[in-house]
Amino acid sequence: MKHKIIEIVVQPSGELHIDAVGFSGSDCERATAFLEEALGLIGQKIRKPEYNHRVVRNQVQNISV
Amino acid sequence: MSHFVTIKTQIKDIGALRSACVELGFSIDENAEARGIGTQQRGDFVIRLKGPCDIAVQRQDDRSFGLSTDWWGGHVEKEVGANYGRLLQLYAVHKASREARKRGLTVRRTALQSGAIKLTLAGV
Repeated sequence: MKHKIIEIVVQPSGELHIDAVGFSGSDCERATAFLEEALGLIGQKIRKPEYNHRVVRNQVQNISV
Repeated sequence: MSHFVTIKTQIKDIGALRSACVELGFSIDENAEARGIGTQQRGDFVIRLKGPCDIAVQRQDDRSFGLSTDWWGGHVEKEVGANYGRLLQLYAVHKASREARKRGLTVRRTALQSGAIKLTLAGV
């Protein structure tokens, strides 16, 4: 099981980047939702390959961002 | 890693703003006048800077707080950075840390050489 952490890098401008590490699927969005709500205006959101990782027998889903 | 989000910091929590100001060495007054060069502006809160100008903090319709100040002469920029950058940075650090600890997460703070501050939240 991967170690799950959330990394936040806050720039000197006040802009910040949140990276959910060690998650699969949409668990990452649930894990960081409280930060997105609390901190401000969401700009770019990039879903990485692991976001689409699911244990599925016969089907592969691709979500385009 | 599964998703990456960029956020423009908005001030929504006066407690976190107070913590940022304490770290920067500023006090906050409630319902006061902010000093400018030859002018004043009322704020729901006022951040007292060391120079001749202060920062007025005003409630907005969307429940966030807006900042306004007199930028003339570079006094404010010297203390809180261009466009309040340093103030917003520390506000975001304190706000994120508070929200994480409320949820039982541990927070590790690291200063990066670039001037950025990294928070690592564990126990998710």
